[in-house]
Amino acid sequence: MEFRDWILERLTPAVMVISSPEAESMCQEKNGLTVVDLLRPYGFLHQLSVPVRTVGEHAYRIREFRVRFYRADMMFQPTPEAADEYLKGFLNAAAKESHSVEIPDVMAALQSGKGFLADNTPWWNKYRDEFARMMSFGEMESFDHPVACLLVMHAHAENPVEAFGRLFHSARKPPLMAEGKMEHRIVMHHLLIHGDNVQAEGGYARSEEKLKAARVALGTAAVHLVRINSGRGDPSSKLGYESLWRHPLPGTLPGGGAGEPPSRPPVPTGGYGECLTKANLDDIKRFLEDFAVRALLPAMEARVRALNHQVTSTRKGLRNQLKTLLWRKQPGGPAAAAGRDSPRGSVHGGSIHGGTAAASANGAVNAYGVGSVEGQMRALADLAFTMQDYDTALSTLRLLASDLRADKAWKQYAAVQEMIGISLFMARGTMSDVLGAFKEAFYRYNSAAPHESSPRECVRYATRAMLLAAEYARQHGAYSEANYALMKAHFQEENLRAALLLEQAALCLLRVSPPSVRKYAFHMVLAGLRYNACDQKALGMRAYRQVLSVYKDHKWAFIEEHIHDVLGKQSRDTGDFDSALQHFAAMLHCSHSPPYWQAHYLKQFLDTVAAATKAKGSAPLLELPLPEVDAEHVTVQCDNEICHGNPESRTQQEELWRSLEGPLLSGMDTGATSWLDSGGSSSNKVSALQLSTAVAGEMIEVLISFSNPLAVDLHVSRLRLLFEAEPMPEGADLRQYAEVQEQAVVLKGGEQVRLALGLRPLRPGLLTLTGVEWLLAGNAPGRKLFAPKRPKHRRTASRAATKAEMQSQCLSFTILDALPRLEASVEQLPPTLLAREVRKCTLKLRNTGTRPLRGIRAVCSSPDVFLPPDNADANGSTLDSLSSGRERAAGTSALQEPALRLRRGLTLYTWPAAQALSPGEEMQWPLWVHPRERGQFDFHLAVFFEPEAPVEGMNYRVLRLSHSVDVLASLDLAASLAASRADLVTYLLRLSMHNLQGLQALTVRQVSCLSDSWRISQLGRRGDNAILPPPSTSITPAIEVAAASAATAYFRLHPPEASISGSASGEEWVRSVEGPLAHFHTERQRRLQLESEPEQQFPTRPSKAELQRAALEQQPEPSTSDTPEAKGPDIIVVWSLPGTDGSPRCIGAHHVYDLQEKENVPIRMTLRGEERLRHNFRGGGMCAAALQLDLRNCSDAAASLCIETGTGGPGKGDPVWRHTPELAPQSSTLAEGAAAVPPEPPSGSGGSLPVGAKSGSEYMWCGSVRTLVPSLPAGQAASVTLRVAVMAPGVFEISDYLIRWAFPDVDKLQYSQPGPSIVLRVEDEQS
Amino acid sequence: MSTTVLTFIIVGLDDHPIFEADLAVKGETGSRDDRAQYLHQFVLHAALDAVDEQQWQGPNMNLGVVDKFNNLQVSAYVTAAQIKFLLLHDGKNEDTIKLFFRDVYEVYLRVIMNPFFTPRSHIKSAAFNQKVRSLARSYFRS
Repeated sequence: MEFRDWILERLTPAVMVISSPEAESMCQEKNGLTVVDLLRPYGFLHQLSVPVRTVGEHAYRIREFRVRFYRADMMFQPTPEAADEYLKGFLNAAAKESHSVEIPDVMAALQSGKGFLADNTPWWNKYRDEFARMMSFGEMESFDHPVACLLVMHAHAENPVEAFGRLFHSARKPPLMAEGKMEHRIVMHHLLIHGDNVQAEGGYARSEEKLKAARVALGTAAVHLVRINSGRGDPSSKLGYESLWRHPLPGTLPGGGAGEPPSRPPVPTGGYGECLTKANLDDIKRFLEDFAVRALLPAMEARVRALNHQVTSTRKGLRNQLKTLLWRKQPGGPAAAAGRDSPRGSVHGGSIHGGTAAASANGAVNAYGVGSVEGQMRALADLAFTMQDYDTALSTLRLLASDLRADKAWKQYAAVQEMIGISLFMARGTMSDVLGAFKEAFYRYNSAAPHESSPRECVRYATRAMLLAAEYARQHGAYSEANYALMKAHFQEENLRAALLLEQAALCLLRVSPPSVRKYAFHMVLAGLRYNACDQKALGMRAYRQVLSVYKDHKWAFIEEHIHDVLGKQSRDTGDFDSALQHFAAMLHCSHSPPYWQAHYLKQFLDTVAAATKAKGSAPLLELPLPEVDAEHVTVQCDNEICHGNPESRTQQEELWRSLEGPLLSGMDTGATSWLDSGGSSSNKVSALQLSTAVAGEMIEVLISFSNPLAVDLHVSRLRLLFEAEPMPEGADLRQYAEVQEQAVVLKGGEQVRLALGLRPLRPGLLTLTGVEWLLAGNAPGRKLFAPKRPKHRRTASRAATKAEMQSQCLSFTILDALPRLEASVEQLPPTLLAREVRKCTLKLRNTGTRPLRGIRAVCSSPDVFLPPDNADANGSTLDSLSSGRERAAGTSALQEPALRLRRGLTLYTWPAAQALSPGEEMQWPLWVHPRERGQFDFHLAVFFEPEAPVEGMNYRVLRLSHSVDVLASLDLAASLAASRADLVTYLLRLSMHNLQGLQALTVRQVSCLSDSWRISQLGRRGDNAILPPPSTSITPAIEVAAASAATAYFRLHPPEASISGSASGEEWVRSVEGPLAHFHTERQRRLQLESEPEQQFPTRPSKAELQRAALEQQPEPSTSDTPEAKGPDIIVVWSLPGTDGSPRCIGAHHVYDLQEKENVPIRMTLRGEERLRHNFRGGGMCAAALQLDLRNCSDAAASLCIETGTGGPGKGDPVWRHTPELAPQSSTLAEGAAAVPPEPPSGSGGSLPVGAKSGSEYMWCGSVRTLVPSLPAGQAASVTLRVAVMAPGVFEISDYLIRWAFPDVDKLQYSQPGPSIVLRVEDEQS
Repeated sequence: MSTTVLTFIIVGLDDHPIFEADLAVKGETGSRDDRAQYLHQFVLHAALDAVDEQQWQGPNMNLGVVDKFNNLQVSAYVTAAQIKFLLLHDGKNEDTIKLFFRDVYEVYLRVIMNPFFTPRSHIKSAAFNQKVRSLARSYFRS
């Protein structure tokens, strides 16, 4: 309702009605209405045109006019307690209706732009009206005071005139009138009611006669007759006006008051007013128009004039102004007390001023009686207002306000301010003026409250002032002002009213532009708190529910906690377990709270679950926040074409597997469809694009992270996956479609775990994983649905990794019929290996599916892994398989063809196509590993197989296996080769070994030479050549290298030139020529060879650029490739580490390739001769010895050589026998000084010479000094005989000779080298 | 002894609180009413409306006291990226608060230089927390 109408409806003249009991009963019996009720609907008079004059002689017309009727004895204000009790009851009734009012979703309404304009608090307007009604008939304001008295008498009374007199005198008057605070000199009007139902003699005609008589006595205009109850009350005569009567019926208070009787008459069966006919109603209407226009308005106008006259004479004019100014300030004396005691006596006297001055001492409520000038001013203002003369009202009120202000009578002043506000509004004052007046009123009421005898009353008046302000502001769009007013008002009020005010204040905030939603929410919560405090649970809950959407998901933890707490508890108390559980579950997001509260909230939730279970039989399934489930990062692990044999295989890069699987799948239809392949059915195509594939009977695992954000432990049980199957008829049992694994886990405070939940589909079709569910603490079922992440269409050929990722997150599966499934494991693979260890493991392949499989192929990623061509050695230890002596039995099955080496170290093994594995069957295969470097050794196996009978949707599968072993250091081995000095062809092999593992001594068991025709032999001690075995391909030296220490060993290597024929492999500890060792030995070369070949993997048509590039690459090739370099020998050094029982724990093999001499010796030479001579010096003079110098040209070109003897140093003046060069070349001698043997120390020192050896001077070279060997072809040997003569017995070192050579074909350089020395012992024969 | 009220909060986008700190000096007994935090959050949250309204009314980042509820006052500071610093207090000196906000802003700038920081992510940096607390001690200890 518009504010102006609201004011006009309330601030209207009141008429007090005094009716005789007979008249009352006449109305009530038949119609259920009191006389007042009967008149009320016709109190609104419109279509009038009554000319009136203001006090300033300004004429205007009243067009509409309302008159209020009240029973005289009920015209009093009920006590605050009674009023509050009534209002509470009223609100309770309204709150019950609130359930039907929809709770708006504020945020949604705001975001949709529709605003929040629909009024959803229907109880508020009613409450406000009732509140205003309860505040009427106050003593400070006179607009509720009656302006006229209507005496109602039944027309059947004898002598109505006397009866009217008796009635007025005997009737109870309003209490304030009895106390003299209400004007009692008011206009009297009389009404006779003729009831047609009363069988009185004469009937209506008689009543009319009585009327005439009464009019003569009381005046023509002051008496009326109304005829009622003409109807018979049957349905046919019903007018259908019941709502007309029912609508304005206000509620009643137990003790009466506020204008209403304590109770209402019973409602007749036909409804209110059942015996009233149209004529009756017209009668009433006519009466009231007459009454208002001819009696009431003239009387009011006259009274206004009279009051104005009095006020003017006492208050207006310069004299009165001065008097006021001078006298008002003075504090009261004894006269003031007298004035207060008898306010009526001071109507015209000047002592009134003293009395009002005394009112400044607060509590002077009664000071301004009806007779005082202030009372008259107020009456004048209110009357003028009801006469719609707002200017007069306003000016009078302002004058009054200034007086009261001077008197410091704040309560009265506030009431006047309130009225000023209303008058200003009606006179169309500015908003700030109107609101200012109301605020002033509020402030003054409140400041007066503590000093009043009944402070609550003041507070209520203050609230009323603010309500008016708020209503005014709200209707004029000033919502923030309205909010301010309502907020101000609520502070002092009791809970219920405060709650209502807060609620309205909050709603005002929503209409502010832009809406202050957050403030609204806060005020609403405050309202909810107040509602709860005064036990209005329904309205409180409503307030809280409204704000839920505002605070939701903004992470204001304490706020959400509070709201859910309140709502949850109330829902629980009202038995609404579903919403209680939802709220309590939301409270479990309480990681910010101390552990005590966390435990409390959890317990509260679980208790409620228990209660709900008890009440309903089963607890509702909720999206529980505990434990936290990371539903967005769910990884699916299921085997489709690709099976994963072990968990490590999942962690490898997809590229790696693709490179492994490439050779397996080459030439196969891998199901990669293009847009050309439209032949297939559309459903197949869709499923291939969008869904993952899984196989019935095989486990699908989903990795999900669960975490416990709280500090208390969580017991989670029956943790399982949720799924939907398709096609699934209604009511089908889900268990037929898949078997779900359940888990239980205890999450400690703050713990996070990643669990793999399993599900085994049982029949083909479509299956979608929808979420997880669990049981919290044994009785609270919870679940979390996965974030729906629909697989997207592949727009382009996306990268493989992205696709795999997408696959792992796709939760929908096409379940295929059962398929064979291969499971593989590598047995006996230790967690650590030594570098270069050779270890045999067992590859076990087992068909765990339900269908047979065949066509097994495998690709291994590492060249250091080897599958032998047959499975003969599948069992037995590494040594057994390696040892040479054993008779090898043929394997039960063999590979179809030799292992095919591929690029990048891959090897492809193919089993015969016919080889099948039926379900449950197992195949074992030896698998050799030989890690070469320390560090981590990874190898990956991809095993391809296909079902024996083709299955639609999947024609092959690939099993992935991945293994990783830590490789520790073992033996560090360095081999070097040097030419032997003992002969011209063999070499010395020096092995320097360092045992890097510090725990155990390891033993070098075998050294094998694997190059063609090269042989190896032990290096015997000097002189025991005969015992040594002949050179062979392998020797078994058994050299022990202690832990963390080094050792060196020497062996002799026989090159092919030594042409040792017939010597077989000799003694071997392990087989090195064939088997795994040989494989691993040759592997590297073959790999190198393979990689150097041009790649021919993709026989596609090469592009022009590729052809050019290939041509460029090929050009330089012939020049390098047709000169094969001389290859040195390859050797294998086999070592073992003893186990606990003495048998070798592990066996290792070092491969040394292409050993070359450390320093290349082009000419190798040896000097031989008899080392021990006996000579009779006395008899034969000097002793001559023949020494044979063997020379071999080890270079590639022919050499010319020259041997010079006696090349000793020039400083020695020893005699030298010189022979002419013409002598035979065999005996060429040069007796010149000492030989230049650089490594030899100068003569005389000990060194490596035998004790007593004499060098140099004691012997003589015989023969020519220079011997020429003109040409020695490459690889050929020659021998030259040198002679030496000795004069005396002794030990001689023959060394001072020099060999010079040159390669005339190659260059012109000349090389020289001192010849090898020999020690000669000459003994005297006689001695 | 009644404890003073001093709650600092940083509100990121979408009204998400990204940092909260109770900077009040604890009472002698140390038993602070935990339930007061509820009211504080409500008042701070409601003050966001006032901040939204006032932040465009002047060029200053420091808005001063934007909202009041009973004897609680909310001072606000808005960064260029619409991140709001709110301080709930019971009538502290405006200039002190202004200086406090300015210094906190310096520290906050260092936090947002972290490339992984988003305006919705909670500030978990212990160093930041400590720094804010020490700033509060130096400005409001009196």
